[in-house]
Amino acid sequence: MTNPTNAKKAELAALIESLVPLGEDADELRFWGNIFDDLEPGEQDKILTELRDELEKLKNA
Amino acid sequence: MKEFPQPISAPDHPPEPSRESAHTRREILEKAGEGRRKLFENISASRIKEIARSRTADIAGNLIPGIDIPKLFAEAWRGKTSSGEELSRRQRFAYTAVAGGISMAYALELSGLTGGALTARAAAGAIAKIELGPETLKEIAERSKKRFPKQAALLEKTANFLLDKREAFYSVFGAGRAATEERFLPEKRYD
Repeated sequence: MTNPTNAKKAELAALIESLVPLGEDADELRFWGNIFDDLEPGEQDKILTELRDELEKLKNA
Repeated sequence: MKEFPQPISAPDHPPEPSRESAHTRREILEKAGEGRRKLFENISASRIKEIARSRTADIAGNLIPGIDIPKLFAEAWRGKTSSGEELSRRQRFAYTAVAGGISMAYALELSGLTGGALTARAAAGAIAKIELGPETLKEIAERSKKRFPKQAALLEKTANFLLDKREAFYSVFGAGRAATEERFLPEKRYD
């Protein structure tokens, strides 16, 4: 069975990889990647939702 | 043979985004950056409240306003330094991270004191240590690992992020110290 935390981390990595070429700050997003394990589950979900929404909007812009 | 550089508008290059599209993208990036700044501010505040809750109620009351968190974060939200210099989107996150890091370090440093020892002098000592820079935040994180592992881990990684952002560190620190002294340490000046 897939570990939910690993699945979240994989999604975060994919989001970062997609957002940087669209103008996002690699340094800041790498920081979010580094602290991800130290966040509460709700905080992890929040950053994932924000990055997911941002990517969607940037793709449609 | 063609000479370099090749024109950027060569057919195999993707078309440049229109001015309107570039503007929309900037707005999306700005808005998203604002959301992440708010999130990091909330995360920092939540970790500090957990430290405060582990102590007596009267200490909690002093600890949280003692660092004047809103003032520390003010430069990042205003988008300007205290001397009026405009901050870029990237700088604004660095300023937010500095404010969060300093707030957590201050709370951790004071968390080791008993109620009677938490005085203006102790607060001044914590402020003076933190003033030295991101390396001090790492030392405070290291010392706090056993008592507050969650906060220490976040502080250590925040300090690592700030190692090459000293300008932001000292700008935010200066604004936060001035506000803290004004409220809590009217007779303690360091410069």
